[in-house]
Amino acid sequence: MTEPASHPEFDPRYDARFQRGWKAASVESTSPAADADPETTDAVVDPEPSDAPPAAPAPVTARIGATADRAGAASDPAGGPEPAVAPRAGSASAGGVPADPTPIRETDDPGAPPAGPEPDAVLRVALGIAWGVVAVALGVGAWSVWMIVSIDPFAGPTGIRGEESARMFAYLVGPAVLTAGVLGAIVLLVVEGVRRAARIGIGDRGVLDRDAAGAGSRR
Amino acid sequence: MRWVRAVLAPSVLLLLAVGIVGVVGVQMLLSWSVEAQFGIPVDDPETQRRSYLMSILPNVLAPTAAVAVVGAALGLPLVIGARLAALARLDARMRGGPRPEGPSPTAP
Repeated sequence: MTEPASHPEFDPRYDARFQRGWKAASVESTSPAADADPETTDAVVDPEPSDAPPAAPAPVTARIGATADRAGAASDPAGGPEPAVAPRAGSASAGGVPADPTPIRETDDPGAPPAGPEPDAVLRVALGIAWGVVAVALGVGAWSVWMIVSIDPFAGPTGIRGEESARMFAYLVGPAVLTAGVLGAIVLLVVEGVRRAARIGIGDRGVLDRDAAGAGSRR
Repeated sequence: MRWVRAVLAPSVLLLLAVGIVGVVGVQMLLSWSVEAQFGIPVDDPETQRRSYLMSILPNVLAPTAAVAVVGAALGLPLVIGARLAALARLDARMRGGPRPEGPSPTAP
């Protein structure tokens, strides 16, 4: 026999930690109970309110920030995608109202400036190294072909070990290196073309601006 | 018009050049090889050397030329197709169509 509850049951589904936009870091400073596992802690299961309420201010902060940001976006004539917002860590006061309502933007908007080192720059460096390797391979292959053409095949061995080694290298390794260089150049050209095409899809910078401007002027 | 814009790109033009050089190279190397086997009377050392080179160089360079032809034949449709798709998206967006990036990041 269970005793009927004398107070309204608290549904754990409405706990702030299960709501969208809840961030653990934003609550650590206000609620020590947030460190516990929400599946096992009494703060979730126990309907009795404790002294430190579990993380209720966090989603409220997020909604306020998101609402303010949407209002700003509506008045912005440029428009643009709505960014996902999260409360700034440690900015919520004890009452749940953010001390600093400026939200941190967590968006992958291509127009937004990147926070860390630009991934495109890393890719550019990698492609530059690859082009360097291709150039070396093509150079070695061309030198090998020139060696084959320039050496008299009926002169017999010269007796110089280095020259014989170079000749053997030109005959055995040179063609394969040349083929690999051509193949690498083709692969890099395809990668470069697809990369530029993807940037046309974004359509905001560099070569794309030319294309976009051309398309716009023809309309 | 979109086709012209898709083809007029440095990577597409370079791939086209690689493919053309490969086709011309394969044709030239094959003719050298056939001529070296059947057509050159060996009279002096210079002719003998030339005949030797015309028979050895196709063995050396023909794989490279074949790779160039096949690589260009594979790469050109990829790059041109990617550019065509991107230009189509761009045109649709400039006409006021749906954004190609997908749903809004804050959409439920």
